[in-house]
Amino acid sequence: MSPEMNAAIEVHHYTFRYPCSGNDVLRDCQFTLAYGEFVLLAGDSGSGKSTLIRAIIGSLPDTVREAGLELGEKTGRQTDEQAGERWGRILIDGRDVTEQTVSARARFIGSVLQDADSQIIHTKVEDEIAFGGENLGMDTSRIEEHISRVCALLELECAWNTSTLSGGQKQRLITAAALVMDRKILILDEPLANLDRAGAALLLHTLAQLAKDGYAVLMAEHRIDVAAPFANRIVRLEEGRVCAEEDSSGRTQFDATMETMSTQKTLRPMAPLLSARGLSLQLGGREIFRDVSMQVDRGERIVIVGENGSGKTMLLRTLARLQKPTRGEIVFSRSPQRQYRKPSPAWFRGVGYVFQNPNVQLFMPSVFEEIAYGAKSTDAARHYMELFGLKHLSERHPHSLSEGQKRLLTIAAIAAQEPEILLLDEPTVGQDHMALKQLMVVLGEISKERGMAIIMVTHDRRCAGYPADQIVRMQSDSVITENGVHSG
Amino acid sequence: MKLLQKFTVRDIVFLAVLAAALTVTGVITMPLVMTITLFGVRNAAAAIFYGTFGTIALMKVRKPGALLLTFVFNGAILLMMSPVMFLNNFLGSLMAEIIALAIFKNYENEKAIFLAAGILAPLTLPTSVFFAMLLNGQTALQIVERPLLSALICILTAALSFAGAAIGLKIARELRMAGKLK
Amino acid sequence: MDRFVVSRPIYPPLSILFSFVMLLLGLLISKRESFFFLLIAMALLYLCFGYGRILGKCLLVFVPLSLLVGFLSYLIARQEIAALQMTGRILLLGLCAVPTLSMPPSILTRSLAGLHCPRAITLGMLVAIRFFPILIAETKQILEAMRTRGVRVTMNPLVLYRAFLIPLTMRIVGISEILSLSIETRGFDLREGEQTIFRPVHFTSRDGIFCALMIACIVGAVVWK
Repeated sequence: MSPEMNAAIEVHHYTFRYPCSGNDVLRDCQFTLAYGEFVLLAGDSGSGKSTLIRAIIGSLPDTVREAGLELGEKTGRQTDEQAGERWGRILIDGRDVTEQTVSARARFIGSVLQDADSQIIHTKVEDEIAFGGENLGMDTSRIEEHISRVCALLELECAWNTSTLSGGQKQRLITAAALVMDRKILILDEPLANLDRAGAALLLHTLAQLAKDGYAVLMAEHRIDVAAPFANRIVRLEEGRVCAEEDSSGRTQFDATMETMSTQKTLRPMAPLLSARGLSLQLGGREIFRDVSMQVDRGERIVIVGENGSGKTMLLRTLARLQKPTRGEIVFSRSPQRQYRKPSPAWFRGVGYVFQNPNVQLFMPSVFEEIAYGAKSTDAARHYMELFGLKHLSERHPHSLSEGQKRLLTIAAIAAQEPEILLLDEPTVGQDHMALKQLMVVLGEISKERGMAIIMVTHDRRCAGYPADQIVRMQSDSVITENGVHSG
Repeated sequence: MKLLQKFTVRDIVFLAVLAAALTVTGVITMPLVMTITLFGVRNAAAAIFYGTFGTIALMKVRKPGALLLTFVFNGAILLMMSPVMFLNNFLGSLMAEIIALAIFKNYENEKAIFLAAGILAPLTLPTSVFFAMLLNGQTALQIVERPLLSALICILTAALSFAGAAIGLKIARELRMAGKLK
Repeated sequence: MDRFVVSRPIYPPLSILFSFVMLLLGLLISKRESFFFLLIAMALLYLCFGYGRILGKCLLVFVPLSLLVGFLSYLIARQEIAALQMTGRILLLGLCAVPTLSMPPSILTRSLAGLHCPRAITLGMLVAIRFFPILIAETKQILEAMRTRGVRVTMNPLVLYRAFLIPLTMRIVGISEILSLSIETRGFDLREGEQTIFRPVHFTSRDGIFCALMIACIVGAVVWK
């Protein structure tokens, strides 16, 4: 940050500890964001990125404010015990906002949070974008002007129905909703998580342009490889402390990792396990994919890649029989009927399916019990728990884990069922670089040891070098299989 | 309104999303019993979910009016499909809160929550009598012409409602273990 | 619910009032001849005010349903008139739902905000209506997820509790946490203050005509001998 740049956000010696926790999640954090800067906040899972973002936004459970929210009621409950402890200050535009609420800080900061689906409350794009402006008491003409501007910037149409938007469009919508408030400070928490390359590029290009126009942009993100070329500076967090700040131009680590992984590619022709012939799917009058054929051999590793909306997830769901194809057939060696039948629990003993949202598949009271539920024995459950690096979390409630940990747990729980084929829908979301690499290694081990075929859907370029025996590229007008047997 | 001032945005949003979930369970159960004009059957079908979600609402938002708000928001969706059910639920939740708070003064005690959520569905029965009279064109005497059957349905509704409240308490404990509830 | 949206809805509080009043009136006069003319008058009113498509969709559901209920009523009571009246009452329920079913939630909440309804209520209504279809989708996904974990979808209470209610409740809590934070970061405050309404909803002359016709229907139904 050059001396002539005005500071938008200043974090001074900020330390934070969650309620009933002995560890500081943020430790003496010292950080500054200037106007005209686009800064990336990087760090492994648990490094404190999201906590720092929440501290700046004002959403951490805080001793003073939580007590205040009870409006002085003597409830007899120890509310202070649930509040976190904090030291230090946060300044926005030179103003100490440490005691201010989220909505008060919203007058200075525009925030874009994760999980766009859970944030959209209106049925029309225009109404969703206008919401922030309405709350701030902006003139309707000014709101209208801002709506036109941000829609043009982020390639949205005012009249669109929000329930028909793609994941990328939803992410852009919530970004637009933050921009319409005309706040010069923009904070984003992992906005690229569900975006494909094109969607990510559009968003990042917009953010870089905003920074050039004088905005202060702070973005916490795992996908540094994608975001770094657009940012001015990368701030690294490690164990709650800012450990390094660097210019964003020198990012090669991910490329090297991908190259290492890709040299391990091998083809292992074994007995066919599943074959899909002439699969086509039409939904709501729209063709999702057409005439896809593939053969899955025992122990084979297949990656289905493509941009958002290309039909990757629908193809995976069709292979799992969660979606009935319009045409075509799927034959699984274990149950050779060709006619489509709704899948029973018995089908899923042979075909493991991991949903994109891990929360829907977790229901037991501890991590160990979650894995043990489908495992053949207690020892097998322990084996998978250790394999996936979850042993230290064995007694934790699954829903108390981070999203990345939940995703790992879901994969472990399904893998413990020892299916013959494991289907994974976007397993890389929320995983930092190390966790992702570890996951790929573990999946490779399982595939080798048990002859388990693995089919993975991803738009994440970080695993483009995953040792795959087949790569199925979904495009809007075609499906191309490399090292495979069919082009659609 | 003074009552609403005690609620935070987080409380309101949680109660509203819970209300939407309550309506989803209604969409599953109501078609099964919709054609049955027997008094109290629809109340019995909904009782377990009212008890469960009513308890979760109060365990998360332990403030007077939380149950009423949940059913007002639930009514916002029902208003589109059946204004009768909206009135039914509104009056039932209002009476349930008044009774529970008259006895326990606040929701700090889990017994208060159990009582409020448990008696809600049975309290919708009196208003159901009124609407059944209008809807079926019967008099009150005709509706309770079969007193044994009517009594059985009332008891079943109460039993299911309190069972739902017990399930809600169990779920709330699980939420606490997951760190989602204080 | 999006497929029920009408391009020019009636003023929302008037729609709600209309539904309530017609429902109560219809139930009160359901044993009179004028009841069926009231139903016809309501249908004609909807057609004149652009609710034809929604009316058609509602009737597709409620006509068979009302016939079924009427038939069951006849089987129990063996009275044709009573069965016909029962059929009419079910149709009435469907007809009363038409204006409220087709009301876009944002228009409803904006009109209520214009009437100084507390922000807590308008926000809650908006969220509840908006997330109803989303939670239906989540429920379907959870039921699918149960099958993938080898859990049979049954009425077994233990199974329903563990594999269905727990994930559903966790999702509800998760969604509400993110949503409430998102709403607050967009400057929303429950205290009444400087908020504006981007597209205010006003009572227009068209709504006045609807109101007048509604009153005419009520008077006609009551006075008709």
